[in-house]
Formats: sequence, structure tokens, C-alpha cells
Amino acid sequence: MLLEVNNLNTYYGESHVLQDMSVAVEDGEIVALLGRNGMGKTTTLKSIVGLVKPKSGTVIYQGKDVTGFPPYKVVREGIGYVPEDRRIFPNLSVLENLKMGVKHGEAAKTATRNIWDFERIFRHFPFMKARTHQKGALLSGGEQQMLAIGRTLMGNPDLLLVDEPTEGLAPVTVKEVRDILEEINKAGVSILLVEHNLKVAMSLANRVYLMGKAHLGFSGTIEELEAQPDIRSKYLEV
Amino acid sequence: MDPTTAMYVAQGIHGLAYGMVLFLVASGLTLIFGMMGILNLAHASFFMLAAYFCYQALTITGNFWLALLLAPVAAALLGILVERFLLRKVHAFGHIGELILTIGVSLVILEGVKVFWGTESLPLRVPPILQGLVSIGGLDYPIYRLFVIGLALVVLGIMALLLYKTRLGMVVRAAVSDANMVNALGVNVPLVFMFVFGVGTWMAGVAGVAIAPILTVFPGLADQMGMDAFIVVVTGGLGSIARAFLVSIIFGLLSSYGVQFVSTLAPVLMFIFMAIVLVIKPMGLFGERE
Repeated sequence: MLLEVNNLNTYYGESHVLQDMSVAVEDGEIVALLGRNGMGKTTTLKSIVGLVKPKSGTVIYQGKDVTGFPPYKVVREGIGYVPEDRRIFPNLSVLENLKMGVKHGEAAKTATRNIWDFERIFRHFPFMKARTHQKGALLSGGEQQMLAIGRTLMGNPDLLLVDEPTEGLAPVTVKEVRDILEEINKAGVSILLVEHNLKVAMSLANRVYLMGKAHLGFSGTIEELEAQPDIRSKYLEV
Repeated sequence: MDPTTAMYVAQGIHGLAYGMVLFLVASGLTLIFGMMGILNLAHASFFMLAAYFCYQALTITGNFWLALLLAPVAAALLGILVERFLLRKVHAFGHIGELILTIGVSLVILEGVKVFWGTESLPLRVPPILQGLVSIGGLDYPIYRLFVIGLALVVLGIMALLLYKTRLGMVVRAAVSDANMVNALGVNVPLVFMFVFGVGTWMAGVAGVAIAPILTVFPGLADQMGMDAFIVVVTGGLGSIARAFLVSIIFGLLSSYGVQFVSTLAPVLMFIFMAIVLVIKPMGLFGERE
């Protein structure tokens, strides 16, 4: 098992936003985490990466307990985090944004399978090569999303946590982002995906988790989910 | 050269020198704020402390250059200790805690200074080579103020190189806009915070040493500079060194020429300027809405 999240409980002040949340990702999988707004999908990713501290529960990555680690230590183990809203550094150039993704420090794992460098990034995202010196703020939403993904790939992750990558994008761009994620997965990167667009999620994922209010409602393969329309309407349809 | 022109030039040099010193203090303040979200109310206290360190080092060694080198470093080390062992501890409790802590640190420094050095003004003599006037093109310039301008330019140059030509500088610039994201990309952000705090305090220290021979060393030093630096940072928009530089120079000139032309208004000119800027551009002179 690549990632094993067991019984996470996370609070924002008094409100209990994650209740015994458990998720697992196998090597090579794309796993989608679905659910309506405010169910705790983003918080699940943030709890894994250490941006919020869970009160109890464990996050095991490649057999190592990384629960409660600061974010920089968690990601140095080989996780990549692509946040909601992209969070491109607006005052840095495209090239600098990519450089920010390169992991340094003794604890940074040297990846063996997925070596990403500028050349490979530019092959996947050709627009970046022509605009290396443009400021991040001047990119379109779709380009910023690509850059956010590219930036994280520069850290050679084995597992990518991607939060709402297609939110607010034009349909054409949604497809582009979807295809990029598929390509990256084919290249050997496992993905835990939080996605609003059900079509995108279903077309990518091997397995899905559905979140109800703060807790896990359903987990299974895409086929199992499709076989149970009542589950779908309970957790996804408004 | 007629005396009126000479006076304008002299006032200009004074204004530039003060503006430069102001910049050294304000840039540290704005850097720390931009990156850590902390309004460091003890910032000017480190500036004052460095002036006292310089006085002490000069008294012991008799060497101004050595004092110039050592005093800011000593202040920076103290700043690093404050960040590492005090600020970091209260960071989890939000900005109010940090704000109160920095007020506490500033009070401790102020009272400590009074205990060790007393409350009177201590004169600080610069070496003979920096004293007096130098004549260039028929105009006399005070050497020490030219030296201060040069010193600040050197520090500015070092900062620019550090910020724009090194990976560490890039990390700092990124962290100014989104420190959490930088952390989530694998950078040990607390360590970078500590470094930035140290550099910011060092710059304030250089400013403290630079201004000591002009204003003498006394416990009220921090109040005046703290207020001016705060106005610069607010007027320029938080978090940018380049803006802090420009606004500092404007303020330096404004205050020196202000004394000359509208002496009754001089003490409030900076406030008037700030008020006008903020009414027209609420995010600061060059600030942008997020």
C-alpha cells in the first residue's frame, strides 16, 4: 500500500470536520475522493500533507508514519500536493515557479522512477517553454493549473494529491487537465484526486471514495459505484 | 556656488541619508511582515540596541569599523534567538500573540538598555576620515552622510543580489506571497523564517550604527525610527523592498526639505503624505488588492 490513512479526526476549532476518515491508495492507482461541498475532501488532503494537524488517526506513507509531520517533511517523503485554487506564486516567473517545486535538503528523497526535469515538463506543457519569464500572475486559469501540476512534478513525487484541478476552467481546458493527469499516472505517479466534475473523476479513477458530512460514506471501484445509483444520488447529487 | 544652492544640496544630502537609514529599517520590517505576517513591534528596538552595541564596541576596542561590523551581527543573533525561542512558540496561537510578544520584547530591550547604559544621550565619535566636509565641484558635502548613503546602497545591493540571484532569495519571494504553499513544496519554512528575521534585524542593526553618530545614542531612538519605518511600510504597501526603498527616499527628502520650507508642518508632513496616499490608494502607493 502506497498511502494508508486511518481514522483521521480533524477539527477546525470546535467543529469536527473529519470523523474517522480513512483512505488508501495503491501503487499506480488513481483514486477519486468525491462528495458535495463542505464534506471535508480538501481537509482530508490537507490533513495528509500536514497543513492541518489531525487530532487522532494515522497517515502511513510507504510504510512510514508521517502523521503530524510539518508539510515540508511529509512531501519530502515523496508526496506532491497540488492545492485548490492552484496557488501559483504570482510574483515569480513560470521558470521560478517550476524551480520552487524542486526539493532540496538532505531529507528529500531521490526518486528512482519518476525523474522530472525542465525538458520533460516542457514536453508535457509546451506553453511553458515559450513563456518561462512571464510572471505567474499573468497566466490564464488553465495555464496556472498546468503550472501548479508541473511545479509539483519537479519534486519527483510518487503520489500526487490533486485538489479540484478542473474547477472554474473552460470545457476544453478541463479535458486538457484530465488528459495530463492520465498521462502522469501512466508515467508511474499514483494520484489521489479530489474532483467536482463527476465525469472527469469517473473517467480517470480506479476506485472512488464518497464523503458524507465529515466521514466516509462509500468506497469501491467505479463499477461498484455505477451499479448502485442510490449511493450516487445520496452522496453526489444535489 | 551661491549659499542658497549650497543649502539645498546640503538639505538634499541630509534627506537622502535619513531616507537611506529609514529604508534599512523599513525593508527589514516589510520583509518580516510580508513573509511571516508578523508586524514586528520590536524591530526598531533592535535598531536601537545595535546603536548601543556599537557604542559599547567602540568604547572597548576604539575601532569604529570593527564596531560597525560587530554591532549589527550581535543584534541579528539576538533577533534570531527571539524568533527561534519566543516567536515560534506563540506562532500557533495567531497574530495577536505574536504582536503582544513583540511589544514585550521591545519593552524588555528598552528597560534593559536603561539599566545597562542609563538614560542620557551617549555621543559616538566616528574616525577622522569620516569627519568634516568634502568639496566636490565647488560644493561641500558632509562626509559622514555620504558614507551613510554609500553604506545603505551597499546593503541594498547585497539584498538585491540575495533576493533575485539566489535560490534562497527566490524562496523568500515566494514565501512572501504564500508561505504555506512553499512549505508544502518541501521547503523548511520555519528555518527560512528564522533566516529572514535574522537578516531583517541585521539591516535594522546596520541602520542603528549608521544613525548613532548623527543622532547620538539614547533610549528614545527606537520610538522615532519605529514610527517612521511603520509609516513607510504602510504607505508603500506591505511586503515589498523596492517600494520601501522609494517611499523611504521620498520621506527622507520630504522631512529635510520640509524643515526648510514649512518648518511648522515638518513633523506631520509624513503623516499627511501617508493619509493622502491611503485615501487615494488604500492598499498603499503601489499596493495591489489580492
